[in-house]
Amino acid sequence: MGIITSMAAFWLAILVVFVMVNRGIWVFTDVSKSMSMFMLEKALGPPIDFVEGKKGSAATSWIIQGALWLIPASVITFCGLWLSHDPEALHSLSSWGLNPASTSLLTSGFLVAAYGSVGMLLIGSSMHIVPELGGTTLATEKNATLMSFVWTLAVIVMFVAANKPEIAGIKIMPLATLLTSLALIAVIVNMLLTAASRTKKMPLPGWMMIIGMISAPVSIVALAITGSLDSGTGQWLATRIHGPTSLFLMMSGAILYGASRGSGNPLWSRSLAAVTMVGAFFTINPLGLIEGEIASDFLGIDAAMFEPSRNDIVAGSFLLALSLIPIIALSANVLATMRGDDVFIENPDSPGMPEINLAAFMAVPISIGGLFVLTDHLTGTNELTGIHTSLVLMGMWVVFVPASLGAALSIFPEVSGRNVLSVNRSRWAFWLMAGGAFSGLIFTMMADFSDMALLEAAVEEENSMSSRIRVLGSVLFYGAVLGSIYHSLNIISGSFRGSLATEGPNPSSTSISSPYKLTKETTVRKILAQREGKLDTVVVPESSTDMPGSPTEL
Amino acid sequence: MLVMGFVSTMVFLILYGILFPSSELPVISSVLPVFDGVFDSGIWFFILGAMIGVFAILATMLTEATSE
Repeated sequence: MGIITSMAAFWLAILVVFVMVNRGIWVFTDVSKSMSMFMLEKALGPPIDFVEGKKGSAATSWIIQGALWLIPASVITFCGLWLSHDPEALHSLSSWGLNPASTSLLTSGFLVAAYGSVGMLLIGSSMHIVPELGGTTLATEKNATLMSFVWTLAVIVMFVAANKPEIAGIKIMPLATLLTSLALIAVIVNMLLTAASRTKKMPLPGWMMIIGMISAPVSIVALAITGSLDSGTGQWLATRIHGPTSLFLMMSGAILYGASRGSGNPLWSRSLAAVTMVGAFFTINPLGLIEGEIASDFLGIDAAMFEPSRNDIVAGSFLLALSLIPIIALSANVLATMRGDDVFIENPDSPGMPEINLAAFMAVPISIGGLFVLTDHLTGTNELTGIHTSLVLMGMWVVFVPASLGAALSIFPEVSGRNVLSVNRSRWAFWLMAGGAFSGLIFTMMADFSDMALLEAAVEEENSMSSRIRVLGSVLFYGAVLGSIYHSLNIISGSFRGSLATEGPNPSSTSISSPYKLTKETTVRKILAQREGKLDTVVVPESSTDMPGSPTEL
Repeated sequence: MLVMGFVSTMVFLILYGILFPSSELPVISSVLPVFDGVFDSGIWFFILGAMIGVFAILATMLTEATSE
């Protein structure tokens, strides 16, 4: 089955799902709603009583666990980068039966970051964003909170499976798939029930999150029905659609909401949001792993040889190139929303905003890099696959992680009721994480290029320069580890004793402290741009009321 | 308390050395060889830093949850 046929099946399945979500399931709608609610709560028996069901508890639980997963994800990735230049560094662990290698650590670090951090942060954010945009509450907070622990268990199993694929003859990765699927289906049903009880038209970011979530299992079902999963091309496509497309859509919804919420500006363009949503489905996302082997590992099937036909190469390259349209649309929309109508980025110090800014800014260049590497792989040239790992890690640590973390940080006060402990610590954490990940992975990529050049020149001697650059790269990446710890500490401390989110903003003076010498006429905007004064006029939306209006008495 | 603990530990160690010369310390001398060759790479200092961070988070959670 070719790429176009498989993609057509996926498009059709998504279309059917979208129509059904909007129009219900004929006469079964009410029955299915009550049955689903029963399955999510009462049917689970005593375990459901272990978790609390107050408003925001599910989102808080997912976000805190997602932030905590950043630490193992960054530590494992750091160890993987270190072992690429010093393979014997952790040999003492062999006395405990562990033999970590650079490749397995980098893969497991990537998976922990994708599923543990990004996945949990985005799902947690969606548990606030979808009800908020739909003017309703989450269908069941209890089940969503409980599922966060199932998901965490799945990530632990995934980490074990990436480093030790078989234990006692049993493949471990399918177990992780089973657990993630279980939790994801519960979350999807929860989201659908929430969307069904919406009281107003839901804006696109909400739909992006719901459909993005649904697209992950739907893509695998569609590929299985078309019989593509046995082929190398089908497994490659499964890797592309299941992970990057799904996460990209959820990330888009989260950062569009986060950028608007954090800056106080309305969404810059709904048309661009629609282009992002539709484009993400109709194209093949270039971010993420390039090989289909990981899909076969997850599904517990044999890996097939990747042998795309000429038509597959043409169609795949075309759809990959088209994917830049939704990515550029998203980037432009987020950056313009953050900027608003003037030259300033609103609330630049607000936790989450720098992360969203970084992700929106870096999404385009990383995607272009991914497009080159994937097209190179698809055509069988494989001249650029040497930088694949560094590029994938960069996509994860400077696009997906900052985007999901930024969105989560910007909504954290609303879901937990408290702000993060310190804005200053949040800023430090951003610079450590962004600087460490970007510079560390750039140096690693330089070493990759150096190795590729020597390999092409058939030089047999060991490349000492590459090794030295890799040392620098791994040490710099440690900044991401420190940033993760800072962020987690800030969120956890904030959830206990951060300032209350209900507290109003501090009124500030509008006086200009130093004399501002004018040589000609000027505008208030220019004075403010010189940081000579503050004009913190806060516009607070009026609370709505159901009381009927009456004429004003004179 | 800390000073008292430190002084009493030193006293016991010196006493043990006098009473049982040329014999190894119980428990400690069996545990230490486990760590032979562990810190022979710079990566362990970085891992130690991350572990301190993780313990700081655990300590924060415990103290915040149990404080008034």
